[in-house]
Amino acid sequence: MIRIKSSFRDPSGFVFIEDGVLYRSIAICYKDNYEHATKSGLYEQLMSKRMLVPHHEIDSTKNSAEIYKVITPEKILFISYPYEWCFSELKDAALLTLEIQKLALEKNMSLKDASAYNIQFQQGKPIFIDTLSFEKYEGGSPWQGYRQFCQHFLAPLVLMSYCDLRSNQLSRLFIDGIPLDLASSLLPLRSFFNPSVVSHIHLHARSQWKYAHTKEHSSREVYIPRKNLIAFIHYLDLFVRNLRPIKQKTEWQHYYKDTNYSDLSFDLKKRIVDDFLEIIKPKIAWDIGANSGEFSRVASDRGIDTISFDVDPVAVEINYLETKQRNEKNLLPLVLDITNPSPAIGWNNEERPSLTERNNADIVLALALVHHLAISNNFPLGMIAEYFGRIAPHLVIEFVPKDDSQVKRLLTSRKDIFPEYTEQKFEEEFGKYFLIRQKKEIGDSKRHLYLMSRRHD
Amino acid sequence: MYWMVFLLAVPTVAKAYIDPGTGSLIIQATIAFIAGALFFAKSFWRKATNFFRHDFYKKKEPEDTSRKDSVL
Repeated sequence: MIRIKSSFRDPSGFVFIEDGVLYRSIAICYKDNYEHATKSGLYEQLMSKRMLVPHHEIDSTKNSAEIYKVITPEKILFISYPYEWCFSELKDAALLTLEIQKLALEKNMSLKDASAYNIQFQQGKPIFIDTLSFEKYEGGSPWQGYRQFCQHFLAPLVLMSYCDLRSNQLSRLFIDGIPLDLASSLLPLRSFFNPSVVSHIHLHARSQWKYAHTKEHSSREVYIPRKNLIAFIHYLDLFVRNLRPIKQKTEWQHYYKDTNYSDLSFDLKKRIVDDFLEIIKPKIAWDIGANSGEFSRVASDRGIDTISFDVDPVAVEINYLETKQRNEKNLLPLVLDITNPSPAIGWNNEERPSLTERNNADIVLALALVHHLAISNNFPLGMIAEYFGRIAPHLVIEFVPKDDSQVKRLLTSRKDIFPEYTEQKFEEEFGKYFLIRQKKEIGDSKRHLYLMSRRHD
Repeated sequence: MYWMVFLLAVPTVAKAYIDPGTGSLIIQATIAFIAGALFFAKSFWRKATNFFRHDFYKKKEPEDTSRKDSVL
């Protein structure tokens, strides 16, 4: 039995893996709440709408004095974290949390926390994964998860709305969400004209500070009539719904309009990628440096579950909005800087695993990427090959030569210290880890696409 | 602004496994109080306008028929 390292804060239960199957153990102390959620029809309602991850109860010999029940939840294809989501992904996750809280209140239950880590993306939509987050609602009690909701969702959303789309990366530094005093100090003066930002962020931060330094109310809790709580959730939902990402120009957002591909080469490149995928027949693909997902869709349109990574939050936003518009179920766009991928964070660096630890790709696409790693970031070709050798059982990679206009552009303002950046050296370094199965020229572009398979597989 | 909340503050025993934070609970109660009042005001306004609209149409209907009658 391998206990999931992030599953320790809530005494109601824990998640573990046994023989490759995911289980959630429910503690005796959660029995009343679990039975209420089941009998009231809340679980059924949320699962049928795919708002809550579906689960089945199992007859388990593990039931003991401390364990009330064991359930098997549906396995999430790829665990992603809030700092890897674009604006609209975080916004949809926030709206799902509020919608669940509304439905829970109708069944006399309430969310006892509001962690963004309780949301995952599955089949193109956000889904709530913490089955044990519900507790019986006691008349007059406030929403216990409100502070967490503001730190995990509102603060990054408001910062991405008023300051910069990259501010979501702050969630990577603060595992329990962005501190509200920090969010308040970063927000511009014009944010004070929005009453919702003033109340949920600025005044909230001041209130936290004030009561953290006084003991007079430490043993008291507040009473909120039910109708006020429902109105509160309603206006919170309206506030989140009306938030828009800041209009921001980025390096990559018009990438496809700015390439040196002719339409013919572009289509040819898609066809070659498609042919390579046909040979490998992978179940899961990672597209690194995917921009707005043009080539990720070559994989996802074949029914391959595809994770589409890019460093540019605007490109990822465009990608996500398209997945929503096309109702795509097997494409997940995520924000990721491959030169500095998500590290392991939290207690003992084990709560939220690094990107490499979460690797589940059968094939990795690295199209128009190597020259950025080698020339913009000075990574030696050997190091790039070694990394891909670790994460990719199969690899579709594009080599962009020095006489390509994009590479020339990268070298215009700097000294060419890359005498080893040649096609021959590229093949030699990647050949240490991979067997080069196919090499194809991309029309008139001077670039080559390779299909490689890891040597020891 | 917080004076309203002091009126609402009563000791209870409900405790969460995460710290909801006293400051967060206080501001939540304040916003919820205002949200509740807004909700009430809106529904009152809607009811009032509906009432007068119905009243207006009720009065207007016979006038219309009488006019029709007169035309006929």
